[in-house]
Amino acid sequence: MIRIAAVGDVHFDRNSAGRLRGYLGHLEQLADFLLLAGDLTQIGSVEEAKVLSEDLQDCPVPVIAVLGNHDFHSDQQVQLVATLNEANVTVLEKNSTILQIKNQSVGIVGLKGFGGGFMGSCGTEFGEPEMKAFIRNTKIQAEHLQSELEHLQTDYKIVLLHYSPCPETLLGEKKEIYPFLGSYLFAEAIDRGGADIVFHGHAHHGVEKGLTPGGVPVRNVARPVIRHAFHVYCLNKEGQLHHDQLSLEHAKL
Amino acid sequence: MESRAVPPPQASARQTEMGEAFNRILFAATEALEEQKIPYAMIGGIAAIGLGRPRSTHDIDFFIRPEDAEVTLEALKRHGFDTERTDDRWLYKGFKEQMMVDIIFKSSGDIYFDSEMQERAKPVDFHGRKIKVVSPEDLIIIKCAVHSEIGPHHWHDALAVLSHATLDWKYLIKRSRKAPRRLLALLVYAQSNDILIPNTVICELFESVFGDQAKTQSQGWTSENKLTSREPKIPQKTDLYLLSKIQRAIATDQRTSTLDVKLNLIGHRIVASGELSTPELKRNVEAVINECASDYSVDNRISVSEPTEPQTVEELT
Repeated sequence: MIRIAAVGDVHFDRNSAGRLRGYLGHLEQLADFLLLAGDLTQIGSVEEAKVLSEDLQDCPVPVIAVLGNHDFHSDQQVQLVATLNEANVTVLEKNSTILQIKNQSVGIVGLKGFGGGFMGSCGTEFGEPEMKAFIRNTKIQAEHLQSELEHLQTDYKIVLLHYSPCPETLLGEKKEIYPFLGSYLFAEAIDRGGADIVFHGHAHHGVEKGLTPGGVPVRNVARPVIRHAFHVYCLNKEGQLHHDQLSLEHAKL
Repeated sequence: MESRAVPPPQASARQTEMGEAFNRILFAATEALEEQKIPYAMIGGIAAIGLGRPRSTHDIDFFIRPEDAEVTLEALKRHGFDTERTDDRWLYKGFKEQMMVDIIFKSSGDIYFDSEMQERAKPVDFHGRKIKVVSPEDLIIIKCAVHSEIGPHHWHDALAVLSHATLDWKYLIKRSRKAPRRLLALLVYAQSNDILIPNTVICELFESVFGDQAKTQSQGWTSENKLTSREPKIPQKTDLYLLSKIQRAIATDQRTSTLDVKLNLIGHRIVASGELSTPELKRNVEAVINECASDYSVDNRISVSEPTEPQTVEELT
């Protein structure tokens, strides 16, 4: 069994010191690692990243993050990642990391993602160069996501995004802005590459729970949605495995 | 306005211990702010003294931008002040050697330390040190807006500034939008006291406050007319794109950068609602709205949320 703490959209600015730290003191009793689903800062400045780094400095479990759109605003994303790395935060961008939790291996694929819309009402790589560039960006990210998932040989496979892969977790947002909140191309990549759970943020007015068309659970952990410092999720494959083995043995008898 | 040497006011005279302590604290506080490059200007007694009214003061009133409130408090702390978040809407305080420093980030009548005010703030000589004070025009408006039964000295501060300072009348009229009736009353009163106020200024202000109403009402008072004359002036042409303009500003301004604010226009009032994570962000949103739409008043109904401990664990198999 693995236990995941996750939150997105903490939007740290220079006045946010302490807004996370207070809840992380005994995190090891609740979770094996902490995921941050993008929009770590408000305007993407190094100054803000420093405030967040200080809050995360003494976090007792590994912290894995992706950047969000806000983190790109000041064109300081490279320095921002370096600042977070100094505080031992792993920042993923179209790549993955593997954690060893007890005797289980956990692979986490992370990327910001991008918009484009969902099946039946989405943009395509057609027309003006700006439109083609927009959708191509999403497509390239989705391709990376799928290939990373296909290469992971871990016991658990987790996807960490900022943008949403499905419309279910956007319920409450205005339909008109769905194409700016995510893309079904990520769901397709996840369903093809295989994953146990997906986390994302970005949609402040959405809901927590959704599902890819292929049935992978999706959780929108944007802080305004979960309304807590983070949420904790338990994945239990051993139990399932154990259960399967029992029935198998039962069949033999 | 030329800065002029200031006659020493009684309570802050060098000779007395109190005066020395006052100056020490004032200089320590200005140093703390200047070190952090926090834009500020003095308002209140020190500004009145600096702009021409020799009077005593026990108040040290800094006027700053809302987004600098927290940094200012930190800066004062580093310089040995005890600090207090007195009222998140407009006032923080610093204390040292039994002296008090007011950190004001919103003055009566929704007046902010905006970019125009910052540009016009000038250093004046105060006991051998350069201290930044707001422009005489801005001080007059601030004093007009804050004048009340319990603070009649503000009215006299404003009159003193009117009689001593060289004023940019155009700027004064432009800045009068936060308290136009008060300013008109003050100018008429000042003129009656032989303070030189050009008639054209009074006429222009009168016209902008009452406009056509004045003409129709001169034909005879009715109760209906009396009622409308008291209503705040609704801008003649409502900008159809105003809310979109403000929404875009809130989304892109470095101080706010958020899409979580909902705006509604009710008459000449902009109602802001939604939920944000810090009180500073809430104040900054109000400041941005004010800058975009200074003819409107802001009804800030944004709530500030605190994260809480998670209560449940979701099990997925």
